[in-house]
Amino acid sequence: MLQPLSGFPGQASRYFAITTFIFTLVLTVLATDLKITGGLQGLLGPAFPDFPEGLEALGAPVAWCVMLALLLCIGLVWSSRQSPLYPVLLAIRDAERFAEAAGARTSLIKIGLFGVSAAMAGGAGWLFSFLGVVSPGQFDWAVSLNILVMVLIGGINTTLGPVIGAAFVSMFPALVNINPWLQEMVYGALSILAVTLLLGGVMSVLKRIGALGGGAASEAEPAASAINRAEAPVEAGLFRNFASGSAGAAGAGGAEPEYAVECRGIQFSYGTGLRALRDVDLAVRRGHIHGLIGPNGSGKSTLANVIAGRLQPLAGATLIKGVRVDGASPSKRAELGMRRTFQAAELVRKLTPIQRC
Amino acid sequence: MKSVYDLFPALYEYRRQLSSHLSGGEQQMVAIGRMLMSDPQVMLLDEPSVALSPVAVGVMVNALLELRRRGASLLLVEQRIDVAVRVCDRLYVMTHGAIVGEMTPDEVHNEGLSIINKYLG
Repeated sequence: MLQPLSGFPGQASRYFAITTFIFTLVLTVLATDLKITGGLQGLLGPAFPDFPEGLEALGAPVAWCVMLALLLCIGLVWSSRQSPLYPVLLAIRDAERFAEAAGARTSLIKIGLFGVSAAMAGGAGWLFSFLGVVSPGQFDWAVSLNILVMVLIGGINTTLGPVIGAAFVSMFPALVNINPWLQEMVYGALSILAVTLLLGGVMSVLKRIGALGGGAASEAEPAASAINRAEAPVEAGLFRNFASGSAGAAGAGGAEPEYAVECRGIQFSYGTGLRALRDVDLAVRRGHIHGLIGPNGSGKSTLANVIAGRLQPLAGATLIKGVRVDGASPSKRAELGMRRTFQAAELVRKLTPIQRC
Repeated sequence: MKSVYDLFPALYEYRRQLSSHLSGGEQQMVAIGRMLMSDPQVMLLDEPSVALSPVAVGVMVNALLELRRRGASLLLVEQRIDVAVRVCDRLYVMTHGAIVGEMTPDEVHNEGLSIINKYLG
């Protein structure tokens, strides 16, 4: 519950991943020490209600519930990969600065996704509690590691890959009776294989076999189908669905201002170092191209980032189409119809130009 | 979509290639084309000619000239003075975090690069 707050408003992913991992360790220690969680021994979970009389032959009801939950999760992941949100998620993963500049509320989307993932994990935990004793030892860091192994072996960024990986990791110890340390070594070797020689894990192998038979989907197909479904370009259409408003809406309603961009007395410095921007005044007349030239390190890109909202100035005012945007996020500025490019193109790896447009 | 292909005809050929398989210049074209698809009212281009081949720079300049003809509101951050002089209506010279000069491309044509160099030292 605290993780989305600690990540707010969109910490860098690597720090977020580290804090998530540490949080797991802290919770494990707390669960071990607290009486309310039963200490090391843990607590006995509740009993799952039995099937009504006459349906006992169906077996354990909790197993059916787990199967239902699995199908729901697969359905959720599959539908999200077909939805117009999918290319936006790819953009956030591969080119977050672009996604933000195009109007996507990246922090909100990331926190929302984290919330959905946490809810799914919580649901799994709830079902797990019906299986017997729940103790802290069952949730140590090795569990997180095994989940990573499941995804890597099965195939990252696929719908069924993690299911295949989970089935393998869960059943492997039962099928092959080997030492636990040897078992971990097998997992490690397979994971290394999945990120080096067999990128994409089992699913990529299955796709290649399918491709030989002429029936496999290409790597880019999920994104392609998502875009075809949306029948809209990534920027022009898709992002509007997830942005906080339509482009140009905020600037409408009056006469067009004379200047598209205005900077007044902008000052900025990185940390406590030298001032990167000193009292910068600049105005781009509407319908004109203005150039900002200067040598390396003169502050050109810093000013561009201030105008785009990626950097907040220490002083001064920025106006886009006559609207003051001081403190506004890049996505808010995108609502005013502003778009930008970056020195690095910031493209989404798995999209083709036609899918992008 | 068609207007983007008109600006960057090469993109039509590469329309089904993954972006990771495109060259630096083609990727910049895709980035600008992607931006244009949303019909932006204000554009900010951060050194679009960086690390491009002379041919790719030529394509980029033509695209920017076309945008200028269409009446785009655009701030072009550019290290290549020749590119900026060809496409811009007005130039700001920046050094050490401050705008130190302002001129039109005509002034640069008339007086040569010395007008810029006097600001840059």
